[in-house]
Amino acid sequence: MRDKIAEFEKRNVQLLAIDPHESHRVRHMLRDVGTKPDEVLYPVLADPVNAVSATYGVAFQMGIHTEWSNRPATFLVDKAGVIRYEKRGTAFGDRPKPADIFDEIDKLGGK
Amino acid sequence: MPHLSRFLLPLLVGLFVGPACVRAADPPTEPADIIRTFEKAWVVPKGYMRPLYDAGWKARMTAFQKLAASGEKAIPALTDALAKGEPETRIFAAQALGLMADPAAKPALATALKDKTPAVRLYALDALSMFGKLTPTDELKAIKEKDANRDVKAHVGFALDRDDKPDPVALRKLLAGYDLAKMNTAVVGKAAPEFELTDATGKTYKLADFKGKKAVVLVFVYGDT
Repeated sequence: MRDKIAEFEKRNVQLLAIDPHESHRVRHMLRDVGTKPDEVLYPVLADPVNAVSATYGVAFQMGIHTEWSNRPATFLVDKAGVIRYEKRGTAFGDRPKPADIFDEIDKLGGK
Repeated sequence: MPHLSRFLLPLLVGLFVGPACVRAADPPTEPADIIRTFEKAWVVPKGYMRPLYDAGWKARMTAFQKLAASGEKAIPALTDALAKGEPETRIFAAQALGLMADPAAKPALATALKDKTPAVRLYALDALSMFGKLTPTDELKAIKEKDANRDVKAHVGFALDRDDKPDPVALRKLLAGYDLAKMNTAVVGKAAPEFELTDATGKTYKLADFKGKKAVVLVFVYGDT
């Protein structure tokens, strides 16, 4: 994962994760995997009332861990703030491969 | 007296028929009606994933927002639904009561810890922890050790280990103020919807912070990615 983050940095791209829970849940999850909140390689943002998840059209679409949670989804936003790519998963773990994301980033040509 | 009916009739129509028509066209605002509207629109999908075309999630978000906006009168309607509803309604009510976080719902939520549907127990635990970290009572310890559902066990852990001071009023305000017209407005080729969220260290990020500087990859996760 650290190598992948370096790939994002090399391309001047910011990675942001959005979690549909309050931030104490995010910290609990990090404690479970032995990571301190300030050691995380990319920000994990808490979306406590699912407002951003609903705006991006992914909220309450996957039953997982006995909750109605976000569909796995990835969006690429260019420097001008325009969405250039999206992947809305249709199964658990249905996410683009890192290589696919890097291809999409490279297609932006630095924009 | 025909002249009188000329005045009276429009007046009567205006007073009774007019407002009645407006009411019929308006979306429901009474909490019990909001819950009923949700029940009709929320169809449980086959399997764990809702199809991409399925709009049930919008009904869930819409009901949460409207209940938050209707204030404390939502609480008795939700506690009633929590006690007497079908399983999906009870799950919805427990989750909604977590988002509303009104102390008046505490007794109903405590009862819901014994619900036969695991997701009701799980959301009831979350809701009870909205007033602060829970103390490890014998009941909670028993759930943590023996509940038939491992996620329910894990949520006892979340509730006992809460490391922050919850601000339910701020959360309720955030939900009540959510503009439902924003739902599902992320479209390729269009401006990415703006947001402001906080990370696990308390640092706030806005999408606009990166404008003109960096492209951004947004990854929607669910607590285990």
